[in-house]
Amino acid sequence: MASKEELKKIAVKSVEDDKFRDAFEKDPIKAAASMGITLTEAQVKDIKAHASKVQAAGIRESKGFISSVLSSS
Amino acid sequence: MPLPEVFHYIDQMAQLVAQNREQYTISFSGGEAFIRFPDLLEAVRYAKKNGAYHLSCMTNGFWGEDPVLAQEWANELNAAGLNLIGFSIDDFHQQFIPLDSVRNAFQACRNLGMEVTIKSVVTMKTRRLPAILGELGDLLLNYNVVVQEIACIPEGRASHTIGSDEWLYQKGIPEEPCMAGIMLVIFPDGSTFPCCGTGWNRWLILGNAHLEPIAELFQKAESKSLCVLLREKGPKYFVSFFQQAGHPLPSEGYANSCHLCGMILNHPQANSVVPQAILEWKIRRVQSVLGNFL
Repeated sequence: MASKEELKKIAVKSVEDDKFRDAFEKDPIKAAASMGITLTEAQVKDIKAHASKVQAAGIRESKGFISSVLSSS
Repeated sequence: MPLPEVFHYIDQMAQLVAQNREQYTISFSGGEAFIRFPDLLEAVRYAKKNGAYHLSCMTNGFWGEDPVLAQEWANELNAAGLNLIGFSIDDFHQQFIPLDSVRNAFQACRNLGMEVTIKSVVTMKTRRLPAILGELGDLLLNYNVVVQEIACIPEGRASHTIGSDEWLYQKGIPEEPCMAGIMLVIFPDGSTFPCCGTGWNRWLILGNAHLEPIAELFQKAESKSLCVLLREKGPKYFVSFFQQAGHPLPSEGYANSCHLCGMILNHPQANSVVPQAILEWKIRRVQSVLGNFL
């Protein structure tokens, strides 16, 4: 189980490293493992749920515009 | 851009999409891509052979001066696999390119049933799109053509050759997010950007395609904070940060969101404001994802 300290390390790396943040949102288990950190099933479930919400919110904001542009190109 | 380099990028795109089971499209632009017609033809042929789903290029239509030659060129490009030709038709281009040339080039494409688009850059003092289309006569009759009127942005030469009363600005601050990162724009020197807007500067540069694989550059475009921010929220996200820092941006006077983006990323205070705004977005995003555990 990832400790609070380890999760803070993940948070700091996510802020400092765009590639890591992107990878962590897509595959938290693999990204955490790259730092030698193991997440529990519950942690993974929670992180994935929140990452999906964050990504979906961004897509909602942009998709209207992008789809209108793509449909006209 | 030398042809072997174009082939090298196409090879990488083909490999990348094969791995990801996706499709890719390429648009050739300039300057004027038709100035190097033999290279353009080879590049289109090569891309088609290597699985490009859709191939397009922009032109000013100068190559329509001789209708017979125009048809030959259109025939060759069509046979090579080019899907779409976009014509730049507006007062800025017609100072140099006779409209008859454009008509001939357009007609040559139409004879082949190719996709055609028309883009017109306009100001308050230039002709607007309806007048320009009117000059094309029956060329558009019963033919599907996407036309786009684009407000001229005060960047580059336009910033000092066009009067301040000529710009066509939209009301308020542009709200649209943008497409930063769903494409790569590669310049002849290899510098690679995530968009085809006018805000090309060091903030947006992803890297150099001479030095880094295309896959890596796409990865950067996908994950780079600034690109994600622009895709999800648009450049308007930064406006309040400039306000808070005591450098408010004008509340109107923008041609579009690319113009606003350029104003933000080229602002004299961008070095202090933009990184802070990006940092705050990153912290909020990470808190949203990991907040329950921190």
